Amino acid sequence: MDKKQIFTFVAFVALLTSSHSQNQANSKKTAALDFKPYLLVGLTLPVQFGSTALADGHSAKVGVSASLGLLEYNKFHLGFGGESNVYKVEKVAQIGDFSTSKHNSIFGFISYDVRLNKSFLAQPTIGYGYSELALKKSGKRRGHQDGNEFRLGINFNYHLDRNNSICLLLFYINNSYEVHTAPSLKDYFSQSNQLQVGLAYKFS
Amino acid sequence: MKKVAFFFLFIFYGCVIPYDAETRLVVQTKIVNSSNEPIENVKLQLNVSNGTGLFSSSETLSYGKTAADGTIKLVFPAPDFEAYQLRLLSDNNAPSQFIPISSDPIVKNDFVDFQYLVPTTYLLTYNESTTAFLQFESTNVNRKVMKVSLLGVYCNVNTTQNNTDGFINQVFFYALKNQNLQVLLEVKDFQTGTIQSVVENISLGSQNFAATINF
Repeated sequence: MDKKQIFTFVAFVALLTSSHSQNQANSKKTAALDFKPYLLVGLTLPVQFGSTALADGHSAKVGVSASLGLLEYNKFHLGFGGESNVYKVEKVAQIGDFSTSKHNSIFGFISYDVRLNKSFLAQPTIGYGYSELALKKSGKRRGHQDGNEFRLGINFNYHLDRNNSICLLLFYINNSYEVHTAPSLKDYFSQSNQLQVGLAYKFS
Repeated sequence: MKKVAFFFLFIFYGCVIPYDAETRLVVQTKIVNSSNEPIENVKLQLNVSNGTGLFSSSETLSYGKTAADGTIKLVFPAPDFEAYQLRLLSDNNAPSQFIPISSDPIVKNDFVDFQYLVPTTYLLTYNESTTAFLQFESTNVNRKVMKVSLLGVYCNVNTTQNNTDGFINQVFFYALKNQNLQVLLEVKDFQTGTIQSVVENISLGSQNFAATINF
């Protein structure tokens, strides 16, 4: 986690804590740690940007995302999740003669419930975890880069009923991959930045 | 039955070349004609092989074409084993009047800061070229040629190497007709371990050339 990500994390938690304190002052409920599981499963479309290998040398396909919320403390949720996205190699001279690069990640997250009205709930979310970028040729894995993933975004939930919701996911996701290469190519292969849009179903 | 299954699994995966995706290498060169003018849109491919044994394999690792200034830069993950050999080759559909480009084998130790730069690679036509065949013979059996470098306008160098010690017996290449070419030999004395440089000048005419270089 670099300094920028630590600062973002601290600012995010401070913002949620202050919002939480205000809500608590208005509420008569007592804080309690609960096991309140929910499962969110959906499709994502990453939009890579910047001068990086994934943005410049690939085109994104639709990926999958899943999150499992486990614990709730007042309106905070703690859980973990995973994602998988496939990118088609477009510039062979830059990436190599491979068919796809597959990005996989597993991460922990904290989210916070912001009730907008009876049907809508917004959940600002921050997460951090492990990621990898695997090169594939003819369907076989041929090598991979290890990395870290930082994610910051929001889930907009529309409640269908008490236990089911449809969610719109909007995220900024940064990955830092391990790489050894010529100095001019270091950032190109070690970084990726994406804005991600997703649609998911949530069961609780 | 299990043994048979493992055997086929070994064959299936044993022939697949693995890559270290956390190491990205660069091969770069500039394609020019015999007048040192850059040539645009020359298609080249980079092949990798993992030896010549029973379970060896080779495949295309990257490909691309030259820019307006004749340069080509191929970036690719490093093969994930020690004794790999890369070779920059002409595309299979290259025009037939040109002598196909075939670089010297590029090995792991050739990369400096993850890059292998060849300042100039000549693309010659058959009409303007002749063939040259050089054989190396030493008066001392302990002295062997380990590396051959050429200074001049040439292409498509093929060396015949001794498999055990890696020394070079013969070199065959194409070169521009009517030029003086310098041959630089790196000679190793296997008794003392010393390495010595030997320089020979050869004069090419319009006919095929063959010579034995004694050192």
